[in-house]
Amino acid sequence: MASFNKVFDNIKDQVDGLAKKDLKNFSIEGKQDAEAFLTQSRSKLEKWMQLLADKKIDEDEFRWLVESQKAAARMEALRKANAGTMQIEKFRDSVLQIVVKTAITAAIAAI
Amino acid sequence: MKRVRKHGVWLALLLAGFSVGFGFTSCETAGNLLSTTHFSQTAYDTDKELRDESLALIDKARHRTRYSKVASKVKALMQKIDSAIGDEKARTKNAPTVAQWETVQSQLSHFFDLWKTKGTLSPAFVDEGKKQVSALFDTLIRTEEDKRARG
Repeated sequence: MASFNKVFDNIKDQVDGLAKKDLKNFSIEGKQDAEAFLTQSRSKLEKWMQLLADKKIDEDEFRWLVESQKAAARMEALRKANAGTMQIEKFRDSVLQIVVKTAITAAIAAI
Repeated sequence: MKRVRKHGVWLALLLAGFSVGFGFTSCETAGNLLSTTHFSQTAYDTDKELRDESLALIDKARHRTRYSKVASKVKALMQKIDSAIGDEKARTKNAPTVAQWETVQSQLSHFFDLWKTKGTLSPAFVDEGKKQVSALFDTLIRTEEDKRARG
């Protein structure tokens, strides 16, 4: 039977590959989304400041709009947190499958 | 037979060791694998219904409608939102969606408070506010859609 270290190294290599593939994409995507959100916020703030200067909205209304943009950022972060949790759980599912498959294969081969 | 039993023990030790190595106990592992948030058609439909109802109500402010004319409708909407939050809290591993709903609730509540305090709102503010509230609900709806991936 293959030694414990050899089987464990095999599992570790597979999990490392999975982590690089699945979790790295998530961080790149998250960064791109954050940048897009900042760009979008900037144009909205410019528009609202102009409305305030033109007295088309008052200070309370301007403040609500700014707060709503902060709320939008929070909503998006929570959406990402939800997606991230699901991605981590999917990752754990895959890890468990690798462990079971590799360990059983090694055990059967030794019988 | 003795050899097979030996391998069974070895396998169990390997699985247990690996689980501990990855920072979760066997109970947690089972819990994480079985109790993940799943898509709910009912929640999805509620999100859309309450978005449409909220936007329709906000629309009424556009023509300088006085708050007193919509007060009962606002109260009914906020009660429905309370109920939706209660339903979301009952779902397992659903903290991000609950926090999202609380954010929407808070923002809507401030909007209606402003309307109540001032009596009427600026049309330009209503236009912008409606877009903002719509975007908040759309993010909530997309979050539910994301859960489809998990079945």
